[in-house]
Amino acid sequence: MIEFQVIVLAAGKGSRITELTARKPKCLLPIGNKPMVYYSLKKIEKSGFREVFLVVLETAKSEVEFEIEKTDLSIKVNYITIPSDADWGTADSLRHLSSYIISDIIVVSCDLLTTVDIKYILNFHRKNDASLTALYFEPNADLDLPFTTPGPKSKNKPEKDLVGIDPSTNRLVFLASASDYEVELPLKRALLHKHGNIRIFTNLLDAHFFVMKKWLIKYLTYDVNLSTVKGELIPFFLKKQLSKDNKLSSANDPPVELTPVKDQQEKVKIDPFSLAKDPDYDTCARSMSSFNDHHGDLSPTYLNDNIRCYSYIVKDFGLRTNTVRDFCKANKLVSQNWTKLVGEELMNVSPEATIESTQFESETCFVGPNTTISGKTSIKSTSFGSGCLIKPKARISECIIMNNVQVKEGAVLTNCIICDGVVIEENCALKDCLIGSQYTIPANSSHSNEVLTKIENLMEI
Amino acid sequence: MKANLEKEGGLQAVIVADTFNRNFEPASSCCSLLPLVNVKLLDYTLEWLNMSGVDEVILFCSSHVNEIKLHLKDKVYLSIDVKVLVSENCYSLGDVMRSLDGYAVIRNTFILLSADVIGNVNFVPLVEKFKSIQSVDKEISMMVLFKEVGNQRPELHNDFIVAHNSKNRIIHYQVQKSKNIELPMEVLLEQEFVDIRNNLLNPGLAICSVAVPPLFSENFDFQTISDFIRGLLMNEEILKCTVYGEILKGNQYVARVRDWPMYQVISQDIIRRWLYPIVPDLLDKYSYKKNSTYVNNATFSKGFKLGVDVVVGAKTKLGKNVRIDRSVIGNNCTIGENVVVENSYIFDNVKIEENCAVRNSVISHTCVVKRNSIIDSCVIGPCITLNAESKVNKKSLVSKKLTHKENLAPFSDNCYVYANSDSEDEESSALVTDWAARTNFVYDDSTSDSDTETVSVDEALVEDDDVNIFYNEVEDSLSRGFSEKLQCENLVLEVNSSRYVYNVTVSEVNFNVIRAILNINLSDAGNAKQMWQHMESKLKYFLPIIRNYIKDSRAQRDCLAALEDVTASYGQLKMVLVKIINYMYDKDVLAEEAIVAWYNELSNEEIKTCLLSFIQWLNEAEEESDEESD
Repeated sequence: MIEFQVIVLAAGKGSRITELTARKPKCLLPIGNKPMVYYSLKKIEKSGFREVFLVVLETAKSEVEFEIEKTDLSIKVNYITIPSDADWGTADSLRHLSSYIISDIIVVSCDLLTTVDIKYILNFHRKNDASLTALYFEPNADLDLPFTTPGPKSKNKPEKDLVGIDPSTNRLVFLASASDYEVELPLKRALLHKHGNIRIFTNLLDAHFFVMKKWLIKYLTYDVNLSTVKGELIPFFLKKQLSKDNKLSSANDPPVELTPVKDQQEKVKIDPFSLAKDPDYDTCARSMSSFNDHHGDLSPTYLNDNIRCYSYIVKDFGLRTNTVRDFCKANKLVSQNWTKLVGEELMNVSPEATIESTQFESETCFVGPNTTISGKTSIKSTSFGSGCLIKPKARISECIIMNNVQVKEGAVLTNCIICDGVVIEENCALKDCLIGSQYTIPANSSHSNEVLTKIENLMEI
Repeated sequence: MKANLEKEGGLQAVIVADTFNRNFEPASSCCSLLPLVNVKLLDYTLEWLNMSGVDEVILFCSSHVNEIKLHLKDKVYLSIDVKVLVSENCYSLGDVMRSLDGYAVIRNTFILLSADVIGNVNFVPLVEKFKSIQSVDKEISMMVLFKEVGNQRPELHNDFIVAHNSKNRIIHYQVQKSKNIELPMEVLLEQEFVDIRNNLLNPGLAICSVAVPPLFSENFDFQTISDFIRGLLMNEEILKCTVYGEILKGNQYVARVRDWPMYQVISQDIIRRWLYPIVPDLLDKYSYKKNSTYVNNATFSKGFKLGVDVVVGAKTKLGKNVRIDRSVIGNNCTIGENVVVENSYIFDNVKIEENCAVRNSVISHTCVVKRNSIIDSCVIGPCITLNAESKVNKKSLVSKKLTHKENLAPFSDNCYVYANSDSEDEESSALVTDWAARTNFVYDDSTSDSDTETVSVDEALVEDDDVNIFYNEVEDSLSRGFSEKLQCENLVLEVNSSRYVYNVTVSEVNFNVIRAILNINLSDAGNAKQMWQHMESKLKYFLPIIRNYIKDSRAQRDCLAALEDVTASYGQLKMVLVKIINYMYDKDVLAEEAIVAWYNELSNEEIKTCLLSFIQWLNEAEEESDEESD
């Protein structure tokens, strides 16, 4: 029997980067000329998994399937589609595929870019016999790049999560968004009685990588009110973790009758504690063992809890690509971290591309197949999708250029994101701009810090 | 490291001898002289400071001064110099710090602790750490030392919550009263992370910068260290001071003998050698035997049985078939035949006659328990004789001779019932030894409501003493006026407004104004000449104020009483006392009748001898003038 099943959530609509996702599913946005989802799938493949469930929107399925087949992935991808018009949360997706779940699961988001070895997270999860383990990144100075985000200047501060853990055991005890509280953060006294020391982090990045016990998904099918994993499911179980009912029954107690089917028929809420109950032989083994996960008091291992949520905090390279800024950052960082991210040698210029330029920095650029870069151009730190045509005398630096883009003579592009099918006419000068798909920039125009896109793209949003 | 400190004049420690509570009554009213495993508490503290790098100890007493001085008389410490300062008007730690500020004896970073704190921590590395933080954060005023304890041993807790950031700076301090802990978001979001801790013990031990006593003087509402921390956090922008915490771990032992449960826990810890090298066999001539028993030259008879964790003091005689378990027996005790002592603490010179049973109790010194008595869960005050066959359960008794309290129920012909512990809060008045029951602390939502009403010990005992606050305000305004040379009329207005705020009587105003004038910058002066120069300048400046208040003979009496009070607490003033009185006499503030009448009532012989010649001169002058008028 397999120990873990992996689920990659790729049905996100990219609501924070609508400029880019108008014509392209979020999971296919290019990072280092590969679709975003490639990195999650590759990570899983390299960790030794042979099969993965990929949750995609119904409408995007064929496109995603087509793109993934073009890559070098050999893992078997089972597509699970969810309706595009229903606004489903992450937990809703998990509930949707619950019939496929036969073991504990790993939930990965398609926008995760990390060098962490999954093996260590799984060992940590196994060691604690956890109900749920969540991965968090500590801020890493290597990831702080000074650069301007393309598009209009905004002062949107990134949202801060408040993550509370017990530093002695890494137990996750509290999770909230900083914007939920205005003046004061109230903490339950009972929580502090249970955990003498709680460390509240304000600067962690949620990787949206979870390892969960199978019973959590089972519980999800009974409780349809939980819609998202991070916002609802985890806080719910953290609350239950603190509950006084969250106690391991001793081996002497009479066995609890488990009749969830009946409960469901009677519409009685099922009790998560009975689902979470560790097998009797585990409890028995624990009572006979001298192992304890903490010190400083006389309480038993795991404080006798059935529901146990943990956090795994690492300082490795870790990024979530869900804003324009992070998308640029990912593209800038991907080439130097390629081997650690993917586990293979970097091949950044497709053999089917034609490069005539002499001023082409091949180390910092990606070029897709059937792209032509003419002579007398200057190209630096830029990635090109497939089927692009760059005419002579164009100067391009720090750009992300997607598929089938034409850049005419004398255009100067600096730090821009250019979506599929854009035509940039002669002698345009664009700086810190974001160009929506199929848009044509007239000749001799000059723009900076703007979003240029077709009206109908905006209407779609 | 040590060399560094010596260059700066040595490491100072301030011990506050008074604990400002009555937790150990009736067994002992002076906490610093309470015996703990047959050694006085103060001796543990001094022994600890002696071996942990401290050079100078300032012992601050506000009550039981003579007893403490007598006790210290024949103690010799190798490396520390013990200086006793006395101020009898202190009712809290805050008052002590304020009067310490007045004495101006603090030269550098110092250690502040109370006499009931014992431990074995070496201070030198901690002071170094304080200084290394100081080099980064100039605003550091205090580093509070906490001891990490298991969070499920509530008897050890002070019931407070502290939050510190990654650099151990305290950003939130809350005495646990409410159900929820409220962390200010603004502060929280500035930090990478915040550690919220409930598993700490606050032994009342801190490393303070020189800025701390003045801070207490400026903020007269600070009564305890807790007030200090909360006050600084609340007014961070104004006061510009930060507080750090340092968490002691592992074998660094620190604890505070706060109440009887802690007394018991710490006694056991001493016996079990957690405070090594502060252990009975190194402090006194005990021999350390198996099962943690310590015996010092005691006489045993046939059939005795010592269990575990037993200490038997010097010259104690044990009768036949005595059984002792987990107990401490003092020096010079006599225990009769077939006596059983369990979980009890028996002080010196106690006589227990045959067939008695003592369990879970404290018997203070010089008690006699007559035969066949049974004592359980009691605190027996000193010098009590319990009749034969008495049965005492859950009571604390106080001798009739030693109490001034009225309305106490008599227990027998020589003692009263001080408190019935079953009717009061058990935690504070009697030993509760059922560990199982105490550790079974439920952290459930529904039960925590009942806890919300308990107020922490610190808070409950702090009573605002209006006169005291009034005095501090007067001293503040006068000293500010003196240094800035303000108009005396304005100062009078200020004093009067304070007077109405605190509703102080005329006589108290007179007394405190004079006291404040005398106390301002008092300790700056060196020898008698300098002192007089200083005094003269002050008196000259404040003369309008003195004249304003000291008008009639009653006021003159208050003025002289203030002089007496200040002189009593600050001995050096004796040198110039005559001159001060003479000056006031010359300026017609004091009349000779008042001075002579006061002199005749003086009880302090030292002051009397100082004034002898002056009074003689006065009398002569009187005669002369009488003659002249003739």
